[in-house]
Amino acid sequence: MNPRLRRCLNALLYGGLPLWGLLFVSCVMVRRPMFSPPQFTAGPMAGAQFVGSKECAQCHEEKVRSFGGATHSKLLAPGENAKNVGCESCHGPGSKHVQSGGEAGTIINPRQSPATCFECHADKRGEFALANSHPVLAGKVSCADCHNPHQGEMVIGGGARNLASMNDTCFQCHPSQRGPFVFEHEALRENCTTCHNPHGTVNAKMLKSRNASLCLQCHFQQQTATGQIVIGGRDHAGSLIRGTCWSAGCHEAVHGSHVNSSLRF
Amino acid sequence: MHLFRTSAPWALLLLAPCLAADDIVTRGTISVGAGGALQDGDRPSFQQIFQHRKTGYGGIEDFQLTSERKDTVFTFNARAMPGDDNYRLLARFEKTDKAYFEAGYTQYRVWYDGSGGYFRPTGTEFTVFDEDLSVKRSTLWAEVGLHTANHTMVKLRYERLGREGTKSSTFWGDTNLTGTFGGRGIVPTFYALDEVTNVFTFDIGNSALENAAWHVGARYAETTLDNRRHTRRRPQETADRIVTTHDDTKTDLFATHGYYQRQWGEKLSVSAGALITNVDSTIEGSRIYGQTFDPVYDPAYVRRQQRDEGYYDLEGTAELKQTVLNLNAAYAPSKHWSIRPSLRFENLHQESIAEFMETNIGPSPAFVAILEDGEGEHEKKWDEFSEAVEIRHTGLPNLTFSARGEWLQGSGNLEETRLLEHGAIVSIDRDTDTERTSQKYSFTSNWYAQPGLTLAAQYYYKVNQNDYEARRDNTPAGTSNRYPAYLANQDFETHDFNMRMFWRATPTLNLVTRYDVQQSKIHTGGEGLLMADSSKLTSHIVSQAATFSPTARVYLNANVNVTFDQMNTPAIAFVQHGDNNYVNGSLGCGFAAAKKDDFLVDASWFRASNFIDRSEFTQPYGVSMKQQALYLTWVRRESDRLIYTMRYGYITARDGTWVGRNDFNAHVVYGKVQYHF
Repeated sequence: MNPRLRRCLNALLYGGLPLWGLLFVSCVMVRRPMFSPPQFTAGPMAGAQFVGSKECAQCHEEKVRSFGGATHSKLLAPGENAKNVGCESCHGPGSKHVQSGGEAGTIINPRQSPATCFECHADKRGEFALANSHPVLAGKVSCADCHNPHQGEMVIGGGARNLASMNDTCFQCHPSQRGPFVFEHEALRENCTTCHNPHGTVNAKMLKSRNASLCLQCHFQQQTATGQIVIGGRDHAGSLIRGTCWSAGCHEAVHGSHVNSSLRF
Repeated sequence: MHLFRTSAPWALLLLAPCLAADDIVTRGTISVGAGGALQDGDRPSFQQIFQHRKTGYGGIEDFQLTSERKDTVFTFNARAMPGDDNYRLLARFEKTDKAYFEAGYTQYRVWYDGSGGYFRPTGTEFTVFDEDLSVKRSTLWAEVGLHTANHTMVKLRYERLGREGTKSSTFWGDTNLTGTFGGRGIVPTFYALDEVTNVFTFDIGNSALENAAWHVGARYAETTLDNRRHTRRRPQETADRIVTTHDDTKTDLFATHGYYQRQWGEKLSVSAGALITNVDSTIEGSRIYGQTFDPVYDPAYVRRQQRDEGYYDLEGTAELKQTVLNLNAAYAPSKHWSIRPSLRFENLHQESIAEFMETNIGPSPAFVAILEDGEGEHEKKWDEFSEAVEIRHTGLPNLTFSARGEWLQGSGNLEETRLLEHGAIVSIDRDTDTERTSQKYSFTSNWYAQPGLTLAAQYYYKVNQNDYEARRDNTPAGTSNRYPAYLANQDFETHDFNMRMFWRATPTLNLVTRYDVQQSKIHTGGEGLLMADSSKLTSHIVSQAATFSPTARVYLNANVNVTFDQMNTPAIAFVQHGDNNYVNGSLGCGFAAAKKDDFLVDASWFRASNFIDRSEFTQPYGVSMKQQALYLTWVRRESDRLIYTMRYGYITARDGTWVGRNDFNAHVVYGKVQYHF
């Protein structure tokens, strides 16, 4: 037998004996359930049962009333298979919450943990796990800081139904990007998400790309000469090799400038 | 921290009488925890990824107290975790259906790694400041609400938002220490931020009327920015110098809004809203070269180079006036159909003017400082109409359909002027008309196929078209100030689709599968040129989650995300594609080992492999990185009230892009005691 494999087997059999023993004893002795997060194994929520959304409306009438226009209300359907879809789809079984008269900690609050949101938005779990992301997994920022699951459009600003614009959602925490600037960057009018993915990317500052391809997505133009990369009518071949467009004094004022039309600084 | 210390005695004073009375039901939870890490390697990188201080943290993780009397509720919630600088103090006193008062303070710290770049052919890298950077965010607020007899709600709130500290920047400085390859921008840069916003809001409304709801509010926000960016250029060379860009802006924002909703029968609901916003800013700032941070401008600064332009004594004002009106309806002509049309109109007018002293440098070898009075002005007018219609159908059992169309038509004008030497030289005189149209069509369906099997799909197509017409433009061809007049057309087109399946394959196995695909194209037409495909973005994300409980006492959950994300550029001869691919996943297991003891095992890993070394020809960045983490957790439920938690973790991070400069290994320990009372 391969010596390495033999060592592994020996470690598993003999080194793992305490573990096997623990497993055996606990299998015989214990009958207690474990739940995968975001459900709770213990604490005030343990053992809660589903009560239905009508119970929630007793106290949260305003939330339930406005929910009809929310993006999440599209999940509501008639039929036997969809009968449990409602408030408790995200907040978990509510019987303990109802019994306690609405005590904090007796029901899942997705504002305090994104695990509930990730149950459907599984792609966002991966994005928030990246090193360059809003610190949602660290509990410092919540999905609900930017999204309203109970009312209107899913993003707090933007769309025809909202008074506030989508960028206002970002400006509430990033006021230095609001402007207005004497020389603005038209990309901001399109959206902050032209350059950033607010959930997270592999690149610093949640940029959608770390090099000049980010800027060239809008600033590339028809090229009429070989060996050149003309941007705004000017050859940038000698500049692009040096770094990103916004490095070291070329176009630093990416959100807008009070001094230069070329957003130099 | 100071605010926390000063607020705590007041909170205790509030708390004491509540606890002392006889007819009070009091309950709550207190959790005390501490953690730390033994690290080997780059500690700022550890802090950024795990958002905990490298030297450890500990304190009251959570304290919740609810005290109820017959018609009053007092809640108190606190956290005090020195080390992580994570504090929360919230007190709320509510007299049911009468009034409430709440006040609180929260604070947390976000860590950044201030690493710069790495130039592989010569192994060039720089550490020019302590890369251990962090920003403290804080919120202090007080709010009072009153309910009148007819359920009208009046609310007053004061909020103070703060952001202070240092964070990394991607505005890297340049170096010539790259052999024969020429200059490269890899020198790290950092921001020093100090931002404060004071917000006062007043809201009054009633949403408890039988067939109507209304709301009127006003908001005043005063923001003060005192932000600096420090860029080091050509360190370890004779031209070593620091550029400090200072933004000292004060903004007053005043916004009023109103909203009215009326219900006619069960079928029709109409709402209208209005928002008027005024923003007034005073602008100050500078960009000055020197040998230290925050230098005073020195025309004879000995290390000045030819392109060391900057400015000082920037003074200006900016105004923004915005009016938004919208009208929404929800009409249900039958039980299973609903139609929701929306209209929105926005008028925006903004103008700004800034005067500054521009600092230029003459040619080598004298590098004579040249000062010019400069002035920039802009005025922008913008009108935008948008319409949307959403139709929902719920007539089939276990099925939902919705379709939505959105249209936007915007038009406006931008005038920009740049003057030098008190108007003697008009370097920019531009008048640009812009038209913008947008269309978006989306479809959503959910199918609850059988108990435990749900399929959902969403698709949207969106196209934005921007047309620019430079009515007046004095910028000569081949110069650097051509935008935005240089643009003639720019179109954005996006297809986005996702589907999700939730399947309870067996009573013990839940599976969630999700696939997201998005493709965007940008077409750009420059002045006198044909439209070019300037970018193509493609993203595929496959996500799989599984939860398995083979017995009631064990759960296993696994999550995997596989992402292919590429920003394709046609300029591939000069710039590499933006590759942003990665795989990450996690595996968790919970096991009820004894009557009082649970064991949890959590593992996670991340891998990105995007680095392509084209250092000789272009900036090589593409992230290549590996991370693995394994945590073992023991939870002991000593009683219904008392729970102990102990955790040990081992983490490794390997960074290929920076050739190991950001690598680390860490042993992480954490303990918590939780008591319900």
